[in-house]
Amino acid sequence: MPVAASAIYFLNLRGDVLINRLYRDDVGGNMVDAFRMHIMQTKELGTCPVRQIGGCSFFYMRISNVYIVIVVSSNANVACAFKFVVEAVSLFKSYFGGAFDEDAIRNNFVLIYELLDEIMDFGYPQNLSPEILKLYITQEGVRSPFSSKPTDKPVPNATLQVTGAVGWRREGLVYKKNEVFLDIVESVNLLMSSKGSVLRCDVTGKVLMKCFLSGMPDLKLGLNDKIGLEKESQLKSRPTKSGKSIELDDVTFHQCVNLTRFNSEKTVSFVPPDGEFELMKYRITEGVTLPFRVLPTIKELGRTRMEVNVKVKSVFGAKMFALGVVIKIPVPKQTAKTNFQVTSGRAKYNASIDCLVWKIRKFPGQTEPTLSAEVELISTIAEKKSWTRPPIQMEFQVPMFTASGLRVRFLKVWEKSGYNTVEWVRYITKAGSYEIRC
Amino acid sequence: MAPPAQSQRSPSPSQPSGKGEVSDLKMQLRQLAGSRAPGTDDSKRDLFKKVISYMTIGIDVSSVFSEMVMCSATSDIVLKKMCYLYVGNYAKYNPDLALLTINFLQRDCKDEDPMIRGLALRSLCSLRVPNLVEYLVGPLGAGLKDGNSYVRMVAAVGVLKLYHISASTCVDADFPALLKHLMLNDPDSQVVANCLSALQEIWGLEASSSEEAVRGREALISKQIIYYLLNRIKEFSEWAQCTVLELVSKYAPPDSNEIFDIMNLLEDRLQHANGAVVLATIKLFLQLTMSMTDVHQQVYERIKAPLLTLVSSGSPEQSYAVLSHLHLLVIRAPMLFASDYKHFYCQYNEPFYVKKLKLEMLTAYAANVDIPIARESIRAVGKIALQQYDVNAIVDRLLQFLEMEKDYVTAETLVLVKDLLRKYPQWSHDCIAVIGNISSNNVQEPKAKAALIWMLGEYAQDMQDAPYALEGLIEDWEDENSPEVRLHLLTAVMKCFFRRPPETQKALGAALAAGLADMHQDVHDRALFYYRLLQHSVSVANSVVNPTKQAVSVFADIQSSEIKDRIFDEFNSLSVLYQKPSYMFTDKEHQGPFAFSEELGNLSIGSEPADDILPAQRVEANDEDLLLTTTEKEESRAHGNNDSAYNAPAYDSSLSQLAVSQTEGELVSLDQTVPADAPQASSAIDDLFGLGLSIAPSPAPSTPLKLNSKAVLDPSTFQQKWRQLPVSISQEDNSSE
Repeated sequence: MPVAASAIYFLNLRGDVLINRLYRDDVGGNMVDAFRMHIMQTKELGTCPVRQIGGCSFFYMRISNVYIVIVVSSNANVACAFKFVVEAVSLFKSYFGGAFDEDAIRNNFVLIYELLDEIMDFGYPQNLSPEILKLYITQEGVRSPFSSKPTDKPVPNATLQVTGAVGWRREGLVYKKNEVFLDIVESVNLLMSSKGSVLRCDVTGKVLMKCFLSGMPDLKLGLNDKIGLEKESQLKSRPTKSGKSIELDDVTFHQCVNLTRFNSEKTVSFVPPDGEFELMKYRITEGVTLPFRVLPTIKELGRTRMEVNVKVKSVFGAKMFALGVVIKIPVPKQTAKTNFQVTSGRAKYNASIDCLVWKIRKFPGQTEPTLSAEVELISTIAEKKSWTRPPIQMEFQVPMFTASGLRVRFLKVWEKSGYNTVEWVRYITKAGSYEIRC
Repeated sequence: MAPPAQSQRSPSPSQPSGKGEVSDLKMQLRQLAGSRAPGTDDSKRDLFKKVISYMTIGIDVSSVFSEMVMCSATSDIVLKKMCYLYVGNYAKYNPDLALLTINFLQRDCKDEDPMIRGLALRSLCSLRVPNLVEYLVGPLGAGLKDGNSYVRMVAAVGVLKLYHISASTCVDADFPALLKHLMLNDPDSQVVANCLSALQEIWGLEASSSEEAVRGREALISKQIIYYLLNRIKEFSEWAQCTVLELVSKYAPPDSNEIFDIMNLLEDRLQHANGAVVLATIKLFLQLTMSMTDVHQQVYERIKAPLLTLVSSGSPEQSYAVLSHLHLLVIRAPMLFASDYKHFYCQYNEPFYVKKLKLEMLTAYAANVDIPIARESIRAVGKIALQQYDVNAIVDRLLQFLEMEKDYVTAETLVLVKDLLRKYPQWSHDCIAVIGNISSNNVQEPKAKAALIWMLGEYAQDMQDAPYALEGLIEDWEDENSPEVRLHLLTAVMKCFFRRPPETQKALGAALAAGLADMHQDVHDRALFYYRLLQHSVSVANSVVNPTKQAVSVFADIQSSEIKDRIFDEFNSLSVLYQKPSYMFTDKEHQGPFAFSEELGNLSIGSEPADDILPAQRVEANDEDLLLTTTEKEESRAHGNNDSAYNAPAYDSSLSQLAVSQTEGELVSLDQTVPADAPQASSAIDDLFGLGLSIAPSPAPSTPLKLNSKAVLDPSTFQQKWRQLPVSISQEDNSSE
């Protein structure tokens, strides 16, 4: 039984019900009260997303200022239930134009009821694809009394597609200018010890696409990943060209990708959905180039003073630059006064997060700005607890740089009418959880 | 378009005003009901929206039912949907009024627009009014044969809904057979998937009463149907794929070629973007290869990468679900992730539950900021030690923790050191030196205190101050709230007494006296038991309290392999998260009548079932408890009830000890002669002090001592107290079946 959810609730942070939908009778109507009493009003909140109360299990998730709660009474598939919630939220977002919060729900509650009706029936997930649902769930009401007969022509069409096999693309699309945008977005996760040795480092990457293509085009994407390159050199029986090849630890694809062909030929070929979508996700642990090195020295001088020196070194090419670099250097709670000197950017002390926040808007490659600060602390006598030294955290974006070294080798578009397409490829590397212990 | 937000923002004050507004609504709806003027639909929409929003926030709007039904004659699809929603919500409580809606729903079921046909059919089946089922059969039958797949899809689930309202109607109309036919022949994959879900549920529930259903259920996992579904797997939506994969995992292929065929066919599912599909595939692969050891290992290798990707992508809740499964796999195949341990390093911002699971796997993560995480880390370090990796370094590490002088760190560490000493007695010298320096005043938590006391008793000969530390603790007997600690204190004093009689004698007398006067049944009984044991024969008492110990090699908190296999069979479900088989939390019988009240009392049970109950048992004073068979442990866990889990084994062990001391005759007399009233207890105390003096010279003499056997309690009140015990034991017997 994949989900068989008995009920789904949307609550605000106070516990007021925004939306509720009971799919089955096997749970009582007071389930929300149980959730409020045993989870929301206790310390339990946030300690575990799955809880059992009485004979029912509650799965809950917080998304901005809304709790989404699924109640089941059987031995349900949890992974599936959470995935369902995530998908449902992204569906709502695509309907509301981006935001999903309490106000958006209040403003669209009829629409949400409509959608909840379609995406789940008697607790079983149905169709959640925004492309298809948008064809027939509109706030306009498909039929109106004034245009009763001819307009319902698209409707049967839509319902056919609701359940069709190629669910992700409509036929008969026409664009004046055929364009494809491809972004490779990587986030680097790093955990580095205070001595500078890498404890953990990996890259999770996404290939995001935006397609404005007419007809039913067939696309083929080639990357410089190791398996793909080897396969190609095998097929063409010539040695691989020199250059870096990347070993992907694991790849997942959008449902449009022909996986059988990927397994046999190692090429990514697909009929893309219209508009924006995530083509593939991958994970890499070997051979990651870290864009930044952070060298902190934090000295506690007696009980009331601290000296903080942080040097940040950019390791990528001198012609490139990083944007929106933020370095958060933690300081103790009882910080009273801070003095800074920075060689680049701006720094200030943010008391609400107990951090020195150092911002550098544009950070060129191969440079190493430093921050040196003196921190004065309020002396406390009673406090025996030593400061726990949370890690330094870093945020950044480096355009035209991939930490893994992944590159697009080709992106071919083929359609039977043979039109020309313009392809745009971008790379960007962002900080995932980039932490340096100090 | 704005909803009636003002009243929602303050739900409680809106309640009284809600009444007036509802009657206003009623008026307005009535006016609109007959109107055919243009623009009516727009005003209807606004009104309907108001009604729905009141319904959502819990204001009773059932009084406008008839007006809503009157207004339902519209061709606007959004209006219809709102109306259906309203009707579905209130029909159950107003069965008479629901009859009014049947008419227009039935008419809509014959509408030319398939959308409306589908919607009407769905609402019709969602009315959940038993006496209206006769009206369902016709439209459902038509729906299953409808030319449009949307309607068929709705009808398939509709059959399931009908089954839940009235099983007999559903079976009599022969709907299961129709569903099966549809499942095998429909061109639309979602219809097939819904038929499959419905059939699984119907035949699953029906199986206990009907032969036919059993056959039907078996037919679902026949080669023919499985292959049919597998061949179409790529057509299915991601959710339907999960259902199919789940079904296939129940299929047992007759030979290994078939297994490889299935695995080759489905291998690409491991690359699916939907984590639920990936997990379902993993489950299937693991189940298929269960009997083929080599391939099973290869499967582990193959699923590693997708699982790690799932952990690192998606929301924390999703990673939690995946991590729970990883945890299970790590237990089954510990070497699996040995090279990938870095993935389990915690990140600073991760939620508690994710960190906890990661820690459990990594079991090496210390010096964190949060107290709960620090505790978990220390526990984790201890677990590593108990797994016998590098004991030397870990003992050092634990001793460092003790020197940190943070009370929560000390508390956790003490419990661990105790476990360590039981497993590796050879380390006692290093530990004792440090433990001796800990003042019992700094230890507040019952578990830690119990651990400290256990060590004081066990290593009394090596610790200078042991008797005096115990004496101090006994002086504070009255202030000690935890019966667990008091039990430990009794045992520790006994142990100490046999090792260093002159110094402990006074303390023992005081402890036994305090124990006999104790209000807690267990403490009282143990004190009495020790007392009688001493009375019977001091040497026997010594052999009971200080048996020659064997180092404990395996702790009882490791679940029995049977339970683990059971959970593994239920891979990709809640069982894995709760770490117990599904029958323990879904069957009503197992929850027992107290399931709900127990939850009220102790909220943490569900979240960490194993941790909550077991430490209490682990710190039992006598090692016999720890050698309890694992089945006994399971039974107590099946309950999930702290008290019964704690009491029952304690009682059992003391019984067995009685048997050891060959006083079977006494066992009977004990039942009748326990002094429970205060005046009688005091006479026993007088005797006790005498007892201490008479054996003081040496622990060897075995002249039996006389206890005032007249201290009789009237049997009926006594029996009443003991009646609780057989009850809890018999409950455990039930749950083990």
